[in-house]
Amino acid sequence: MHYELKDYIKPKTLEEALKLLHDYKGAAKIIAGGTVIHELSERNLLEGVEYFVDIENLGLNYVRIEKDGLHIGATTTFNQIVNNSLFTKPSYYALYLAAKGVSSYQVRNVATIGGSVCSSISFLDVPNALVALNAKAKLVSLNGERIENVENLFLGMLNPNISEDEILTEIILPLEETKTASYYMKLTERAFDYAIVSVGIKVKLNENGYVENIRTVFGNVQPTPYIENKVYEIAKGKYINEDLIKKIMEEIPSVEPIDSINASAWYKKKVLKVLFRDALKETLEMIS
Amino acid sequence: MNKQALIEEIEKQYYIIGKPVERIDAKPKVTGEAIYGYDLVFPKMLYGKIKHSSIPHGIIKRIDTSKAESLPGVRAVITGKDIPDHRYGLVLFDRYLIAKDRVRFIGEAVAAVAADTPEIAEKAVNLIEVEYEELPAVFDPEEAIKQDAPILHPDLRKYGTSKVSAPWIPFDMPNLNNYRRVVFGNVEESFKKSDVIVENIYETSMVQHAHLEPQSCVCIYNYDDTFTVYTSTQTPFRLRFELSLALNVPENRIRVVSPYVGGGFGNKLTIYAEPIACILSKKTRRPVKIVLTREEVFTFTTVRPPTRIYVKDGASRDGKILARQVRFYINGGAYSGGSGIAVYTYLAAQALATYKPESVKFEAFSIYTNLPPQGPLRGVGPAILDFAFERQMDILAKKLGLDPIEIRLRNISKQGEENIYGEIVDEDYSKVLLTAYDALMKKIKESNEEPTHPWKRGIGYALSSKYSLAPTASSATVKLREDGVIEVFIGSTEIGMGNYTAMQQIVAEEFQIPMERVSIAAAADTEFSPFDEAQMSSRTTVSLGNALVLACRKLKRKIAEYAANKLNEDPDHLEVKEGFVVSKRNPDKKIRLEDLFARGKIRTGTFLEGEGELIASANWFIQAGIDKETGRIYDKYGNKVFERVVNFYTPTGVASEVWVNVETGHIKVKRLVTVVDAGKVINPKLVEGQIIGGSAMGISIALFEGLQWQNGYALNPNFADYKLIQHADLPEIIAIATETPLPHGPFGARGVGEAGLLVSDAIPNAVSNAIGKEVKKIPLMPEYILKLLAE
Repeated sequence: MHYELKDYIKPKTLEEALKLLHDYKGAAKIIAGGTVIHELSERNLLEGVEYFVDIENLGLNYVRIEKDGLHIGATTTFNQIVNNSLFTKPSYYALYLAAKGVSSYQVRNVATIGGSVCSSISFLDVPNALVALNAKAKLVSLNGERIENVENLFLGMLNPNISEDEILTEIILPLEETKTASYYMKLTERAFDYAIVSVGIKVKLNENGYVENIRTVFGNVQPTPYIENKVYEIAKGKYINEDLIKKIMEEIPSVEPIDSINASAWYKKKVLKVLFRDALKETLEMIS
Repeated sequence: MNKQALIEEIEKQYYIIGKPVERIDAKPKVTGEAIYGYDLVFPKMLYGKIKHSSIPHGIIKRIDTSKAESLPGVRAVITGKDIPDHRYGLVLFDRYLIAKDRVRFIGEAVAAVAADTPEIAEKAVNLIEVEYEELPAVFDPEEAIKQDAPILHPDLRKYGTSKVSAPWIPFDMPNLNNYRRVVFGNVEESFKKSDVIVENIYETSMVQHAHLEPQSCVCIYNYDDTFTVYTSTQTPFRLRFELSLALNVPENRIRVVSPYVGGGFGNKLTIYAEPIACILSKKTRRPVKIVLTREEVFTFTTVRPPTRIYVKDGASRDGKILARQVRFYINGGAYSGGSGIAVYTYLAAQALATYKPESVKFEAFSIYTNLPPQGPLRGVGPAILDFAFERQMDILAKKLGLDPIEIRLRNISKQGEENIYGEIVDEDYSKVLLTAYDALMKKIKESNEEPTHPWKRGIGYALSSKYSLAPTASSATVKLREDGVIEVFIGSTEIGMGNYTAMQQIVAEEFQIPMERVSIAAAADTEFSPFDEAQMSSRTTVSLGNALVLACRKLKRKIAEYAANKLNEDPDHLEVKEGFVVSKRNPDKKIRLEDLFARGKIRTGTFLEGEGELIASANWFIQAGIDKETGRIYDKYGNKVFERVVNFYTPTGVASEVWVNVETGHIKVKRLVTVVDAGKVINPKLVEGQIIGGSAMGISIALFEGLQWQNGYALNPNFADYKLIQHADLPEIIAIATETPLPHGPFGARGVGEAGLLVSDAIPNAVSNAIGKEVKKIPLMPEYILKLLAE
């Protein structure tokens, strides 16, 4: 343990929690599911932390459809997402697959959607899926609130663009769309493992079956989720057939992947193409 | 008589041998009642923590412990200055328990702390400042033997060595610390005659044992200047020996106790934290506990060494191997430790027993590098060398247009003849291979599953034998208790394979009594337990089993002699069985074992009049050895120097089916059959468990495992990045035990603990078969497969 706690505080209201964060400054750390605490501790990133502020009781555990989108409370767990039939709809299916693919069941029982964003780990699947789905996040502090695109919240590995006195309260996904589907795929070494690389896709076709929009995200290719714009550039307004897929495969990834211990950039590039192809085909199948 | 009836007939000979008796440690382990070294707590106990080197090679210029010492709760801080000027090792005494002036790998101990809590100890260790002068380091064995390589042990020639098994360094080669050769026939001549020659270089990775329980010990310095050491070890006696070297204290002043051990796989055969905890305890006069973290297990304990194997085979057109030339480079790490360097070099050569080429020239080089010391891992060497040999077999078969099974059968060492070393072969190698082949083919036929693009199917085999080392000895003591129970004293630890259950079965068999009428003390203790070499090398069933059979027979005779008076019968006509001493001539003449005891007048207890105890001890020892120059039991003039090279061999045949994804390089092991010749199965459940466990470990090593280093720093010393197989990745493993009796095994039994690991050598063959490219290194990472496919 590379930290010494003075107290573990479980506030009942958001205001109370925000005040604690404000008062203790860097000495307080938010804890939701708690699944990243060990990693932070081992990397000496909890030094100086004296208080854990547990946000479980702030009433942030919900999924509701509102006019401006689908709102998911920050402490909603992965298993609550997996078990909510809303997320098996094509528009949100990428999130369902990403959450379901996280092992183990015990982790899915406690890991939260807000925590997955705030931890900022590029090989974790849920943040990648959220970026693919154009998710936004609401962040609150005593100074007010801001709404950000999720992709703007990652600065680097375990380094989120969130200040110490802010709480991410909810994730907002766009409302369900027609002729739209999403998919998430990851390549792992073992059955339950972190991704070597992963692909999240959301496709919207127009009434004639041509591409209206494609959003593609690669995980573990860069230190933060990588939005592959090349796919949309090539495919926009076109009908997707084998030739087009081949063309896209030749062009991606548009960035040199980072090396990992068990996979070089060379390997990642090779398998990303395959993974993208398979994920795209699955997505299209859901629309038709 | 049909086969089943025949088997039943044979089974009838035995009272309990061959029966699937429940493990005696199952209940305490499942309920959590079993006590491991990790669990132990003593009054006034302190927690120790080790400071490790932060550089791979260098001179210690200065250590400042003042900040650590002044931290409240810290009770002692020690460095190399506080330890005796005595190096330890098993055959080569090359290491201090804490580095004195020089560090040779990251992870080496440079200081240690004892404190009131583990947290304070950790904090204190971080406050110790060490200043180094870095030296050039070397990490590859073939780099380390170059003339300009950094020398790790300039004083190597001055080091002490074991009197019984000193290392052999017959020529000057930088960093060479042991050498071994096997020479049979004349390879030069045989190569000339060969129709095909296949020459390849193979590589294996550094593998960690990943036992569940990390090394854990509590060491206590006693008022009478002795040490009591509770520790998680496979070998209490060897541990005591090494401790006596490291601490410079006679063995009789050290007592080692080993409760249940949470796995070892060869990584608990030497000392790690024990001597450090001993010194901390002596300094503080309080018990000191040290439990290694997982990262320390990865970087501070031993590993299966990375190796490079050069193999050149010459064969005739009909598939007979005429010449096999091998150069085996072992990346030995920084020290020989208690079990490393020497053992690998000496024993790895025993992997040549399976086949009998016309000629062999085998050379093993053990080389110092700035990495953690090597140690055995579910065997010493065979599964590594067999990877190369079994690959060669398939490549040769392909070249010659032969079936992979056929080429193996044409080259095996035949029963009744001499193997490469000159030992008479009693193993049936064809049986295990053909049994595996038949079972896999049947399984594939039963399933209609066919791979579709991008998956490709491959079938691969491996055949070999796991040797068990010798010379080796076990002693055992059995005693008749006043309640008629037979009490068993053994120096073997229960590291998870069920040996206590098998040993209890052997005693139950000898006395023909139920399991619950036999009692085994669940802790090996050098103060009370008879000597046992170690829980290693698949040796316990044979060595300790034999000792127990001998001890039981002695005790039965003693009991018969004692009962003779009471029954008025000649002891030769008495037998001890089913809890009675009974006359063979007159079954009415009998007495219950507990009735042999008399009760005192004031009923304080019972005793054996005139005898005190009915107790018997026995020892079983097997001699073995080689002529150094030839590596065989014959010297170069053809004189027989020894009868055997090893204790015994356990033939193993594996047949595997894999599917390979040619787009991603991923490998699925679909079906797997592992056939191990158990000689005689003592307990089918235990044997099956060992075969499945070994097979799972074999798949894991073939597909995933590799501890990676960069300039001496470990990149993945944790279970997130060091990939171990998971249950969901395992296929159904069909475990089959064949029974070719071992003439000197108890009831004909052979050891089966390690044999399943050979699976790691069948998978690469199956993968090569699937992709049409020859794999030459393990693990078979997806990236490696794609690279081969891209060639």
